[in-house]
Amino acid sequence: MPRFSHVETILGSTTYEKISNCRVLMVGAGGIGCELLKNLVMSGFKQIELVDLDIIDLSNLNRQFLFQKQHIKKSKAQVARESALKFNPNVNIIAHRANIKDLQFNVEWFKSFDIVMNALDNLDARRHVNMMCLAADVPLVESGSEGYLGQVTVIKKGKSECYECQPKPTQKTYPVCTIRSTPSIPIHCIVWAKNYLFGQLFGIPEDDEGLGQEVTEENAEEIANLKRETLELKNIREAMGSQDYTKIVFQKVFKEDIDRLLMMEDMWKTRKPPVPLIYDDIEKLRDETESQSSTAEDNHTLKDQRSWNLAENFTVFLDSVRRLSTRLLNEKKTNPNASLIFDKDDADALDFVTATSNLRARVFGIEEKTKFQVKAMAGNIIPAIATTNAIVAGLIVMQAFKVLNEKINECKTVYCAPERRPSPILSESLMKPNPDCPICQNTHVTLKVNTKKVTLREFIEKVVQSQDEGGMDICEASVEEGGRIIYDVDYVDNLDATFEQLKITDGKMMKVTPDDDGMKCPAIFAISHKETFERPGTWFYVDGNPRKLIKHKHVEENFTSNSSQPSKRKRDDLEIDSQETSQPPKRLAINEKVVVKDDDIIMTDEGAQELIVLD
Amino acid sequence: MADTVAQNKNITEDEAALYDRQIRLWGLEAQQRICTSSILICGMRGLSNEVCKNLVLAGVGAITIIDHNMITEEDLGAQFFVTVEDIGKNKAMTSADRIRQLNPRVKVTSDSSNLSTKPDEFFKSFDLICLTDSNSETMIRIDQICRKFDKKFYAASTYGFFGYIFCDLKQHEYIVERKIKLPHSEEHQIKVLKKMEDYISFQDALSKSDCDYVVLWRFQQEQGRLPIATDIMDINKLKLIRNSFLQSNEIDNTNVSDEFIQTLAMNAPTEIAPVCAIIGGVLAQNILNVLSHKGLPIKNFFLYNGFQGNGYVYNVEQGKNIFNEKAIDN
Repeated sequence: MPRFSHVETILGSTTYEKISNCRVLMVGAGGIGCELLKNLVMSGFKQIELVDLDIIDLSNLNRQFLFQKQHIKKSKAQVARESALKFNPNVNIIAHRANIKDLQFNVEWFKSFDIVMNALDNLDARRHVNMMCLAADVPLVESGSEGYLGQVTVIKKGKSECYECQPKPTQKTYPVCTIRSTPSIPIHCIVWAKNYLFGQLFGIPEDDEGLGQEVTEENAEEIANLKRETLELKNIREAMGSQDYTKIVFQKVFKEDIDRLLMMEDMWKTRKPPVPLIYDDIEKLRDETESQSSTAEDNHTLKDQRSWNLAENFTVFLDSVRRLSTRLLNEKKTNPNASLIFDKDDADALDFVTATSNLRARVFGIEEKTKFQVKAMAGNIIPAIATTNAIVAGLIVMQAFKVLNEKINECKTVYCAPERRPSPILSESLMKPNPDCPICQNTHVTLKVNTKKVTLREFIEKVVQSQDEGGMDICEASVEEGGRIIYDVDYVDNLDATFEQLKITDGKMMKVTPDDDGMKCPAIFAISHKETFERPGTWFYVDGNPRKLIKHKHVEENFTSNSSQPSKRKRDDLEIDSQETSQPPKRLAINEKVVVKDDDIIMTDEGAQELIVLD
Repeated sequence: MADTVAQNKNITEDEAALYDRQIRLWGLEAQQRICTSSILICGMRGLSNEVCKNLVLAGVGAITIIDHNMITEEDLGAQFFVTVEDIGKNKAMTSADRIRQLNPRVKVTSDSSNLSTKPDEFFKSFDLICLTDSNSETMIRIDQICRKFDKKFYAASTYGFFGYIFCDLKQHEYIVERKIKLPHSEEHQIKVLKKMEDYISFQDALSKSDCDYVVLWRFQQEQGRLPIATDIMDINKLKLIRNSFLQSNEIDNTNVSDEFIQTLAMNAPTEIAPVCAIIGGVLAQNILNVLSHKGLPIKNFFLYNGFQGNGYVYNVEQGKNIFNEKAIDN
């Protein structure tokens, strides 16, 4: 019997045909991706495109079974393709080592697929693929795993909830003053070491401009002190490379700044006051302990899981500052603007953050953490394992069978939770789209346009304000692209610029929002560059009817507002390791979003791309 | 539990780097137990491919695979350890070479003899024995041997869109960890609960179970093979089994419709990759949990239905299980 006789027997030859002929886009070739690609080539899929930017790391090998030791540092997409072809050589796999957000992967390209499957590990890319699939109207099977838990669902425009229909939990944030003046738990110290001190010493030093919150009587002294701290640190940095640089830094952050904090007596009326560290005392302590041979190592504990004593933290701090300084100074020889960024897999950076946060914890009487623990907390590691990923990848294909059979109504959201009884694997019907969703309730149309010729004015007059077919018949509207305002009633500077000059080029998404209060829902134009058009003198064409869809939506909204269904949602939060992302994970330490809400300043850790507002 | 820890080998720094993510999930002690375990996997098909892959990636100490069958073309469907060049070769030996490549730290042994020729003593050297796509007669026999030597026993199959896992852990001690959020703090506290479960044999489970697949297993017992969906005689026999066996055991058989019997018979001899991945993932994780005495084990069956998309844990002796629970750590 031939290779796929079993699949054909139980799925039927019609479905089997659909499987062999469909074009699949797989986004991500990591934990879930390796398992998924294996399942696809073993289930009769024959046309697969695969996108992943990442390279293979040693810590991937315990679950990403298409990769082996000899593949470390190679492209995940390429190696995954080669390994999967060994399972079944009769499959056409196109591997892209690229970012799915690259402009080459535009809406037209997404439209060329019958189904998209996400095997991603980060919010940002998931949001992007969700939007592209909605714009291209291609069904998307979305997935995620975290430890033993997994989840799979199906997103189909107009039929089921999209990725953004339910608000995502906001990133954990900490008040700046807690981080800088009054830490009380270990993570406060780690955030300070990684986001503040590391950035100030080795990143691009940040001014405390962002601190410029309303200065009140209560916080005036504290704000002034914090600004002074940063300024002093900036001056100290000038001495980098000098003989006693590490000592100066130590004394500054663990002694002088702490002494100054102690002078704000009000602050310590209800809190335990910090205890500054004395460099010379610890140095003496270190020399004493070093003379006694410290070979009494516990063989049952991994090196990184062993707690460090004060002298060890002290030694590692000085040494890591020295190592990082040397690296930075070397880089500056070729690039005067060089700076370092924190990476959990950078041994020097992790040593620095571990020792720094433990010394600070010591000052404030907070529990100290091992390097193993600090790595997870500073690097946002969410443990991933082979078994959960295998289950999730299996569940994705089970949903894909239904999608290809055009049975979206039978598709499910499936949860995997091994300790749940009686159902470790549980299916639920898909939710209807949220009528207020800012993403999937948009109208998506393609604007074929010669971006070199057409100006914004032409677009406003002939599409937005036009009453002709393809026009939106809106007097007043605002236009945005990638978060930039391009045009509104009070901002008309760009009218005579071409799309290209405005950087609204092929693959970009342009949002048109009517100003009329009754019709708030925007239309999204997917820009598709086209050089020539059939009709002479024509340089653009609206593929779809934005007006009709907007009006229709308006009516529907009024209708559903009376019968809003209670949300029985229980989508587990499955935001995966932002450090293991297929997107470039490197984020400048200074990029912390500083958001003012009421009287408090908050600093976000591993911030999302947009402004975060806390309750 | 303590004896296994005493003889553990220590995790090296290299292993810690390789297994970093899973150590963060299940802890160093669990990883040490996993690294010292020895497992026997019987039968090489799609499901056992998945189980072997998952266990070897997790870093079990040693794994032995046994299968006397030759590779055929239809095996290429769901079995990713074999290729078209391997047709006609022995399944266990061919697959073992590929499995070894997944993780050179794991000792992989293959055995091309027939399981039924193995003396009882053969099973003594393993910590855990897992039969895949086996038949009821073999399952009953090996489970009895495992009971004799106090070995953990698993049996599992996929039947196309369907699948099941059975486990007989005799008396199993384990811990479960509950994360408790402390009031007025952002920190969590881990509460460790020590538990124990008693299990029944496959033979006992078979006589008491009212799960759908019992019809298939009884057919296998009587005929020594799986039914053929296109053979009306087989279908009639299945219906007969349903009527006589289930009714005589006062088991509700209204769930097992004629239509279901037909679908089950058609699915029974087949295997598809996604279902193998789902059952294989659940099975391997359960084995890892049991080896490390950590996490809720399956008792007695895990039943998966790919048409509905659900997987249930089905306890044959509902209400009779011994359930000791006390907090040992705060």
